[in-house]
This record gives sequence, C-alpha cells and structure tokens, in this order.
Amino acid sequence: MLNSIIKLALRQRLAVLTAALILLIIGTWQAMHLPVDVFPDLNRPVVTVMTEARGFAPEETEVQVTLPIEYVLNGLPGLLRLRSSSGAGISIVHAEFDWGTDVFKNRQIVAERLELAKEKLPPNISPIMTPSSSIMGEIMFVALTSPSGEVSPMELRTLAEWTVKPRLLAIPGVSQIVTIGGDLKQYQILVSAEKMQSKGLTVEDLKHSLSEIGLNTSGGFIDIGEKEYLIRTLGRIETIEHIEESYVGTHLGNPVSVKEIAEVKLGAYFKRGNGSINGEPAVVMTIQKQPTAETVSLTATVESELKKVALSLPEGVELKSDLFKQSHFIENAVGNVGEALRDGTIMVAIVLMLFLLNWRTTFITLTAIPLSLVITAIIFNYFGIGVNTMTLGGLAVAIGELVDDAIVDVENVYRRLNENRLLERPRPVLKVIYEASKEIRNSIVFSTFIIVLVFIPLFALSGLEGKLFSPMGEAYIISILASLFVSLTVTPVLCYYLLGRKTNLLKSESDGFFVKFLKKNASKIIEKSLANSKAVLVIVSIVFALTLFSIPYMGRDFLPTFNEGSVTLGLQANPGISLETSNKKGMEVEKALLTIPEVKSTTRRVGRAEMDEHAEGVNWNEIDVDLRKSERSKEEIFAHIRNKIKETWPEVYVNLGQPISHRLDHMLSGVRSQIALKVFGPDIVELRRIGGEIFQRIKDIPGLKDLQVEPLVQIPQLKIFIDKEEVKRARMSAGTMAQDLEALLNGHDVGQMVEGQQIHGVLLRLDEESRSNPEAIENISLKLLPTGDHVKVKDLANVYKGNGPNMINREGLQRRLVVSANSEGADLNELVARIKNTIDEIDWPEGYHMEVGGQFEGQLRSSQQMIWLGLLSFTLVFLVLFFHFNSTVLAIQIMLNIPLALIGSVAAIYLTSRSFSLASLIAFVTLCGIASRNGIMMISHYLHLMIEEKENFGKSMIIRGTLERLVPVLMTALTAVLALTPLLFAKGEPGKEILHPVAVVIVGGLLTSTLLDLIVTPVLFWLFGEKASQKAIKKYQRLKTEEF
Amino acid sequence: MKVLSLCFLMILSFSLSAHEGGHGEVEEGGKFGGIMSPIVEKTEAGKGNKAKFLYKAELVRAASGKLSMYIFDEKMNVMDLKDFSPEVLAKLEVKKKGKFTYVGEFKLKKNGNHFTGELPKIEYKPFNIDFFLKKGKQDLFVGFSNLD
Repeated sequence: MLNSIIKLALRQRLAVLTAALILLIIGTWQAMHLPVDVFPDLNRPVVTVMTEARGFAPEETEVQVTLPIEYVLNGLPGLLRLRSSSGAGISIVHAEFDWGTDVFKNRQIVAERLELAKEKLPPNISPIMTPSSSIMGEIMFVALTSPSGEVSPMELRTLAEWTVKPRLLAIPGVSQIVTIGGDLKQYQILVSAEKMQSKGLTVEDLKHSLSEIGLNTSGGFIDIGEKEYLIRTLGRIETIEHIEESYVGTHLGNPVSVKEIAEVKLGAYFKRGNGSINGEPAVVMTIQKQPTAETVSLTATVESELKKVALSLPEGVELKSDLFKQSHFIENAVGNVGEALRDGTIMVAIVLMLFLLNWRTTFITLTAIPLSLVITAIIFNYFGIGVNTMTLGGLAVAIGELVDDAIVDVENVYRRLNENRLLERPRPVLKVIYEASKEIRNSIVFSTFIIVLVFIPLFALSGLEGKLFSPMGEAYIISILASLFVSLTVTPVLCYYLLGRKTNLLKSESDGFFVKFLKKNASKIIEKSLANSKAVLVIVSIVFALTLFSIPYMGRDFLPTFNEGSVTLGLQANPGISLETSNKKGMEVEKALLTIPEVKSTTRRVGRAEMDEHAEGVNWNEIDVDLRKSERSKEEIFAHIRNKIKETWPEVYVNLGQPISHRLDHMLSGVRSQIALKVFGPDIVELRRIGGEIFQRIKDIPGLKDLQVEPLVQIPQLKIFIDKEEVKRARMSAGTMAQDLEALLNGHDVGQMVEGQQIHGVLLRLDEESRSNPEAIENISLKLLPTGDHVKVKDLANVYKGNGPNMINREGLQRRLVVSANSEGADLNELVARIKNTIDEIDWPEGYHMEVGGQFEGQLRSSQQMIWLGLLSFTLVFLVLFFHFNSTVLAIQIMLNIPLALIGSVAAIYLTSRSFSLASLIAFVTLCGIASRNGIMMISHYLHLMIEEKENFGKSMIIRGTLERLVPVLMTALTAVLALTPLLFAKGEPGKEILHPVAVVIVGGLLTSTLLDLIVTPVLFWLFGEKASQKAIKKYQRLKTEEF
Repeated sequence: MKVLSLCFLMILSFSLSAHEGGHGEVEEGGKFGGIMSPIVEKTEAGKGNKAKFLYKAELVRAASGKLSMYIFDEKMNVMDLKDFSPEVLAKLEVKKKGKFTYVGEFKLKKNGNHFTGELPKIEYKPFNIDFFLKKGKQDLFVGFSNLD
C-alpha cells in the first residue's frame, strides 16, 4: 500500500503539489486561529458546595452543615475524594471526581443529593454549588479605587457589585466574579436592649413583627367592566423612614414603632475580608473563566469591556486593570516556545545546508517542516486541540525529526540518481526515484512506527501528569506521522522536479568537503573498532554500568518549577488577629514590596469575600505580586521578597509560590505545598498536638523550608453556657434561648430594600452598646415575667471568654490536619524518606494515622507508572523489531541503542540539574524510539547490501554499509539535537520550564547513542550478526517468492 | 478531720486567690494547638502580670479528656523535662452562679517531652485548672482559666 502511495504521488505530481499548497494555506489559517493557553486543560472535575452559616462557630458548622452534606455526597459514582473546611460561618465541601468524568453530569448528581441534604440542615441555611470554573480560572484582577478618597468604600463596592460585575458576567466565558473590599451596603435596624426592655418588648416580639416588614403582594385579577385589573398590595419599604415607622409591638396600650427602640441606618455588611492594591484600599474583583474559555482572547474581551465601563463610572473612581493577568504568562510562555520552534527550524536548515551543500536537496528536505506543521494544525483544529506550551513543546521536540524521513528519502534518491546518471543506459528518472523511495520506505516507516509506538503507552499516564504530557505526545505523534506522509508523497515529487530533471547538477563525486572529512575519519574508527571488537564492548559495558550506578545518587522532582513572572504570597498571622489589624499589616507589607525594583503591582485579599470558595480566616493575607522582567534570578527576587516581609511583619508565616504552580499543588493534594503530611484522626485537638510533635521533630531536617502546621489553633471565643436547670425553671427551652440570642447578637434578616435594580438586605440586630462586652450580653432581656421583671441572660447562663478551634478541615469523611513544607532545592524523595524516618519515633495514639501527599504523591505515582509504561514500550518495540527482522539477535542489537542513549542522558542530567523529573523520564522513553531509529537504518542497510547488492557478510560490507548510512544517521541526529538547542539553553525561561529537561535528556542521549551507534552497531553485527542476518535474508527471500 | 478541713480551706482559698488575682497572659500562640499560660513561682501566683514569668506552658485538651502540657523556655523552645518533678498536681474549680468552686484534683505524669493525664468529667462550664509543679527545688504554678 505504501508503495502504491509513492507510485500514485509520482504519477499525479502536479495534483500532489497543488494539494500541498492548499494544505499550506488552510493549515496556516487554522494554526493562527487555534485556541491558545498556557497549559492543556488540567481541570480535575471538582464540584464545590458552599454554605454560608452566618454566626456559626467552626464546631457547629462542621456538625450541622458540613457533615450532613458530606454524608449525602459520599459514595457518588466516580467520586474520588471529599474534602471540606468548616470555618466561622462558612462550610465548603469539595467533591473531587475521577479524571474523565463529565463535570456537568457530576454537578447534576451533586444537585440531586443536595436536595436530600437540605432536610437535615438548620433552617435558612441552603448549600449552593459554586460556578463551574477552571483550575487556572483566575484570569485577572480588576480593582476600583478612589485615589482622592472622595468616593466612599460603600459607593465603590456598590459600583463594583451593580455596575461593573453584571457587565463582566455578561461576557461569554466569564464564570464568576468574586468581589472583596469596600463596604457592602446593608440597611440595619440596631436595637437598644435597654429601650427594648423599657417598652416591655422581647426578642420574639421583634422577630415576629419585623419578619414581614414590607412586601408587595398580588391579589390576583378582577374584571371591572370590560377591563381586567391586576390587584397589587403595595407594602414594600422604600426608605429608612418606612422602616423607622414600622410597628413592632404595643406598650401600655400604645403602638411602638421601630424608631422608639432602635436606630435605623445604612451600614456595612458584616465583613470577613478586605482588599487593596499597591498598598491602598480597594475593591478587588477576581475574574474567573469557565473551564473551556480561552484565556488570552477572553482577557482581551474583558479589557475592552472594562474600557467602556470606565466611561460610565463617576468622577473620582479609578478602574484599574493593569494588575496580575494570567494572559501575560501565557503570551510570554507561548511566545518563548514559539521562538524555540523558529530557532530550531533555522538550526535544522543550517545542518542540512552543511551536509548537503545543495540548495535543492535542502529545500526539498525543509519543506517537510511547514507541511508537517500545517497538517498537524489541521488535525488539531479538527480534534479541538489548542496551542499551549506542551503541544508547542511536542512540536519543538519533533521539529528535528520532521525532516528525518525526508532526509533519508532525499539522500537515497540523490545517490541513486547519481549512480543512474553514470550508467551507460540510464533508466527513466521516475522509475529511479520510485525505487529509491521504495528502497528506504521500509526503514523509515518502521522507524517512524517505533517512535509512535514508544509514545502510545504514555497516554496511559493518569492524573495531572497524564493531562499535562498527553497533548505533548499527541502533537509529537501527529507531526511525525504527518512528516512520514509528506516523505512518501511530496518529497518524491519534489525530488523529481528539482533533482530528476536537472541531472546536470549532479556530480559524480557528490559528497561535500564536510561529508568527505566525516567519512574518512569514521572509516578509520570503524576499522579500528572492528579490529578490537571485544574491547569496544567491554569499555561500553563499563561506561553503561557506571551510568546505572550513578542514577540513585541523582535527585528526583515531580515537575520543574515554573517561571510565571508573578508571585503568590500567603501571609498567615496567628489566628485570633482582628480583620482590621491583619488588613493594616497586609497593606504595610504591600508598600514594602513595592520598594523592590522588580515589583510592578500588588493585589491583596485578606480573609474571605462573600461567595469565595476559599474558607480563609481574617489572619490570612494573599498577595499577588506582578513582576517586571529583570536581570536578577527568580531565586534572588524571591529572597528579597522574603526579607522585605520579615522586616515588615516578622511574626507572620510566609508561603511564597507562583499562581499556577500554587493551584497545581492545590489540585494535587488539596494543599499548597510540595510536601503535605496529612494526619487523620477523630479529635482536632489531638491532631493539632500530633502536628506540633511532627513539626518539632522535622524542623531541623536540612532542605526543608516553609514548614508549617496547618494553623488549626484555639482562637478567642465569647461563650454563653446555658444552665439547663435554670432555663427549665424559667419555663424556657435552651433551644429557643439560643435562637433568640443568635437573632440579637448575630442578626436576623427581616427583609429587602429595593432601590431601582439594586436589592439590599435589611438586618435586625442589637446595637453595639448592647452587645459589645460580656456584661452587656449578660443583661440582655430574654423574657418578661407577669410581675414586670425581666429574665436576663445572666440568670440562665454563664458568659465567659474562652477558646475554640478556628477551623476544622476534613478529607475522606475524617478530620484532617496538614503539616506542609517545600523543598529548598533538596530532592523530594530523599526529604520525604528522612521525614518518615523521623516521624516513626512518634507514639501514635489509637485511631490516628498519616499519609504523605503533595507533589511527592504525584511523583511517586507517576514514577511507578512510568516504569511499567516504559517496560511496555520496550516490549512493544522488541516485538515490532522481531517481527520485522525475524531475528531476536538483530532486534536486541537495535535495542542496544537504548542503553547507549541512557549514558548520554544521565551525563547530561548530571551536568545540568542533577535531578530526574517526570519530564526527564518521558523524554527518555521518547528517546528510545529516536535512538532505535539509527540502529534500524544501519542494520536494514546491511541487509539491503547483502540481499540486493549481493555483498557477502564481512568487515568490508559492514564498513561500506556504515559509511553509506553515516550521513543520514548523523544528519537526522544532528537536526534533532540542534533543533532542541533553543530549549537546551533556556533553563527556567517562561514556557520552557518543562521542555528544558526534555531537551537535556534527548540531546544528551542522542549524542551518545548516535556516536556510539557508529561504533557499537558495526561491532555487534560483526560479532553476532552473521547467523541472524542469514536467517533474516532467508525470510525475506521466502516472502518474495510467496509474493510472486 | 479538723486538720483535713483546714487544709482543704487553705487549698481552696489559695486557688481562689490565684485566679482572683489572675495569672497573666502569654502573647505567643501555642505550638501544639493548645492554650498558653505563664509559669510563675508558686509564691507569685495571683499577682497577675506583675509576677515574674519563668517559663510558659501550653495545655492541650483532647475531647477524650486526655490532657497534655508542654513547657517552653523564653524563646518558645520545648523544654527538656529532666529537671522537673515526675508528677504535676492539678486542681479543678468550676463556675456556678457566677462564682468558682473547688471540685477536685488529679495528676499529670511525665511522658517524654510533656506531661499527660486524664481530666475528670465536669458538668459545668467554664472551669479553671491550676497546676503545681516542681523544677529542682523551685515550686512553680501555672493556671488556665475559663476552660470548657
């Protein structure tokens, strides 16, 4: 079939060229319109259920809200893990589903189960699912400020909520906007406990009379005459005065209005968070995208809309959008990899020119690159694959190999045409080109097939690593197959037009000076190697053994660190700190950071916003720092940032990361660090104690930084302990008393105020004077006795200052505490091993256990998978080679290129990072295919010489075969190596972080496998190839006879 | 009996005075998730913040009733307990009708780098625990208030 393709292409030459031109145009257009992102879709299907339980302490939130939700969600089909956080007034449950499950189906199942949970939840508490977003969904920050201060924080927040937010949410692709900072507008009825008592009113009276403070209702329709009328009852409150005049009860026969017992005013919604930019107060809006939305174009659309919105804002308000934007990193990273691709192509062209010294052969070979790339783009477009650093990386790795098939074809056609020209009666050019292409067809198809085969098991990589590297493999395989197709169709046709009809350009001695030089020296080396064949094998075996011996001494990493051009700082103060203090200190840190030359802007969020799925306490400041390009290294800048924070806020714990890396860590283990020691057990206090013990034992292990015990600590609480006996004596129930106190102290929503299109809440609560200290609370009246005496809180309860946990985290229906740490350049595996050894000394109480998570978890899983997948790849390669050559010996000889490649790869890693990452392992598996190709080409050619040219097995045949294959082997290897040099010398550059180790492994491995292949393969063939080759020839001849 | 009653009254009056005067407060957060309190000379108990803070103690109370008490030096390093007496006496008092009343005592024992013991079941909240410990010849005191 493949021969027919070559034949057809040569017959329909013009049609082939026209089709190539059309593909070029369509493919280029489609390539320009492919979606662009920084990484492939890494979203794990997660459904987040958030429940606001205002005023609940973490213990109550856990028992009354989180547990019922967890119980109904547990056991859902495809559910991998349930994680939850129960904080003060907030419960967040993350249901993490298996990769590949449909997120919308998952949401539907969760929604159905939540209906069941609602029955078990306290009244007025309803869980909601947060909008479906992406792991890297936070695409940008927008802030509203008033530099002159003439616009109040409340006006700013109102503008953000009701002017900016609706317009941005209307943009397709925007999933959610989380607003923090400013003052959220609320109408407040602040009751004086004293006045309430003087009017003889109780909590119940207030709750009852104000619960329906003002409503518009419908009375249905009536017909009057011939007309139909809609009956409307207009009772809705529209002004503060309406509230003030509302009736709340009767005293001494007279109606009592709200204003007699309370102050009604416009106030700020109770805050649990705040925001600022560049150290100045601001309303910060975090724009999140939908999982399928394209970041770069969506950011552009949002910016364009923001320009229009800015025009409609009042004077004195500034809308800032020049803050952190994920698109900066994407453009930078994708641009960088694009540059690597371009530079790689230029390198390939130079190599081709150097070897071929002929613009025609160079041109034919080079056409394989654009044609393969545009075919890849068309296939990408068809299957909905986007452009990202990984797909571009796959192309960058493949770029040197895209020309390989064409090189082999052109080189053979060129040589055969040359030989044909020297014949007395030259054969037709078309026939020569066809036969020359057919001659090498087997080896190029087989070697390409093996390259593809090697990569296929990598698609079985699970989890994040699978999601990350599969697109790289897809791009690599598609482009390699496209190049094979081009070499079978366009290359022979171009050979006909550019080489076949211009035979006068061919010289009898076609090798250039460089090739002549190479062949001369190679000939000497091969002769000497064959003369000392056993010594060669011993030396190579020793080098290989040394290589294997050195591997355990290298480090291990999961993924290389990214260089995102921005920093995410987590500043954790001691829980119990007030929002005001935490906010003030956070702004001071921002101002200090702005003195660092590289810091362009800072965006800070403290605590949590309403509807924010991060259940952070007010002690948590998160600062996103946008950096300028700088001569200083990332490490230097990070150290400077750490110092600045230490100077400004010495007692705060700092977690320094980068936005995307930070989110990847979060997705991997639910925590934001490389190492996460998760301790599980029933009692939060005991968990925290064990966490402290772990901390004490591991804090001095070298190489650990950012060591932190999850701050589950005792925070101050004002407690009201109800004495059941006394309550009974007062003819009351403890539950009613608790509810009444909740309404008075925490507040009770009694209605809504509608202002045009805006809706604001109306809250009933005690005024500050009546609730600001234990004594005031003790004097709150709960009941009016017939005698006229009041039953007060102090009569029924102890009011005291105590402590309680700040937060309760759970995972897999168990309480969990995390001790987290990052590595300071140390090998993760080694660090974890040391930690485990140290922790073994702890006396673990019954019912408590520990699991290790974080990047380490992913690394362990992926390394194990890679070992098995690698073995599968090798087995498949062996089987294919065996069936092709019908010889175990020849198949093994070809596969011996793999250890030769390992020598170079390990040496290259040693000279660079000295650490194996997942990217290195994947690169090595890829390399196995590329390295085997050299062996296939060499041994196939030996067999060809013996079969077609009737050469006898011997040293002269091996030397001839090796020298004839020298140029294509060196060219293919050199193009592959040089195409990767832009990635090789780009360690740490944005977008190239994962691709750099890939380049290191492939370049190192290809150099040794190619150079040693020219020595070892001839030696092995000389020592062990005679019998095997005879067997292979017999098989070939038998097949040929059967064919006819 | 008279002697016993006298002792009881002395203990009661001492513990009340210790809490009436207060026992000062430690600024730092605990390292084991518990609550902090200063350790002072027994004779200085009740002087509140005027007493000289010698060490710091962190009390961790598990829901099962298990009590763990860690001792820290000035720099918040966990102290080696080799110089401390093997047992710590703990006295309990509960708040009822606005007043604290002595209800009993128990002991903590040395367990590696901390003291451990079992808290008796208490019906009322809040309650106070006063600990009496020895380091060498030094009699020390640490009190924790408003526990529940």
